[in-house]
Amino acid sequence: MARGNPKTERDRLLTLVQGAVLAAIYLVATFLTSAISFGMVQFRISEALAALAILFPGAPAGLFVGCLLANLLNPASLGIVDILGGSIATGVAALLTYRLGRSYRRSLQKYYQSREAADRPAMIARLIPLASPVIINALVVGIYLPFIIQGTEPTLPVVLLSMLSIFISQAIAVYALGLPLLLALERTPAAQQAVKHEE
Amino acid sequence: MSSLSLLGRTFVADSQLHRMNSSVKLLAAIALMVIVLLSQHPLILLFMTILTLLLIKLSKLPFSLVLKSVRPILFIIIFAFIIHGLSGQGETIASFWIFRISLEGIVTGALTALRITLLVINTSLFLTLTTPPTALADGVERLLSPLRHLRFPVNEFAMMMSIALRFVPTLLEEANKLMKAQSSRGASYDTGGLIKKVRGLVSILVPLFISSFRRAEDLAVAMEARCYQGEAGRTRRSGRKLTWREYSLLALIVILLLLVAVVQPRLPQIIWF
Repeated sequence: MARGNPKTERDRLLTLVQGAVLAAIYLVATFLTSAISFGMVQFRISEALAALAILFPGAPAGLFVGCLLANLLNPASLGIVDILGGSIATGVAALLTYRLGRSYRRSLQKYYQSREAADRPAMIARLIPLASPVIINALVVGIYLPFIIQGTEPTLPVVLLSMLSIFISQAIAVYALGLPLLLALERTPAAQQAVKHEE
Repeated sequence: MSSLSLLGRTFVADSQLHRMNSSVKLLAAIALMVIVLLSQHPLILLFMTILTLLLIKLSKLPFSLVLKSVRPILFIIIFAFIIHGLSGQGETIASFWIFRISLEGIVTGALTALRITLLVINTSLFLTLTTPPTALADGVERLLSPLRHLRFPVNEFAMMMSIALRFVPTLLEEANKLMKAQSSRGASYDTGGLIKKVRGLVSILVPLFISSFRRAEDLAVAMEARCYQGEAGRTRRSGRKLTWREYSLLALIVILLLLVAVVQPRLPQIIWF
């Protein structure tokens, strides 16, 4: 587990497959809660997975694919804007989370080597990167949803309300569900494997 | 878990729609969404309704099954109708408190509701109901392939999509098992407040993640052992060419686009009242 291990073909494949697994979990979680996952006021529990983008390099692509498939297979599809817009928002947010999470992953790597509580990443190092899925989705999805669903031009309060509702639901999904999940997964070998190449 | 039957609920039948190339179907579904959203004139919407009914007939799917795809969005349809009905444009026929109901509002609301219904039916007809998810992943790959020139890893995305779809049933089975295992240890998923429920969810998600990441590792090893190198040197089992079916669908789409873009503005406005 030395620092700067060369990346092998298997690591590359592992990133790909881990992304695929995350996409599958996103898809399943979205459809298990499909009653509240789609629509004007939505609460996507699966967006909790966005928190994992801080740790796993395959997550941004995986979340993009998962969201794309979920919106595409949604029987009540809202059209191309939602299919592409929603998944691009999720993917970009996850990419940003991953980029912002560098210092977090570095300190996590240090912690895995020393196993001293003092080396554990500070909570703030997790909280800040996790804000990106909340903010980006509220901005992107919150703005276009009223336009698609209402058809005609919605009024400003409607748009603001929709942004607020997405903001709140994303914040709950990411911080109340995603964060505990992340904390639990930090103890697993998969997390150690994921930060192996961080430098 | 009955809602999961929605996922990839492809209805197997031998129809022209089923046999069509998946990337053409994907393209057609996207084009139809745009066309339906652009249809404003009642006559055009009537035409689109008849066309949709014909497409359902062509797909050989039971009518009730197609209608079921509207159910999850029924709330939105009713909501749109009410919003328009209460918008108060035109002459008021009844009013209470701050709401004014007008005939014009009701008609606009009904047309909007019809538009959303058509949108949903057409999409599910082309995508979910007649195309298996793996074929859909294939279609997405072919449609995205021009992005290859921009160094977008199209093939890896498609691979990710196929693996994800393949993992879905496995994950469900695993989640079921875990739920039973945690229940037998005293966990409960339907009682308690929201926080308790979320905690219960975490108690399934964590082991689910661990087991699926283990599976992911196995799969990566297996892929490496079989010399998977991405796109290079990979061949396809089904490289179907376009036939008259696809061409006639594309022609229909072009005609419809012309109809909403060119003919629609020239139609006489219907005065309802």
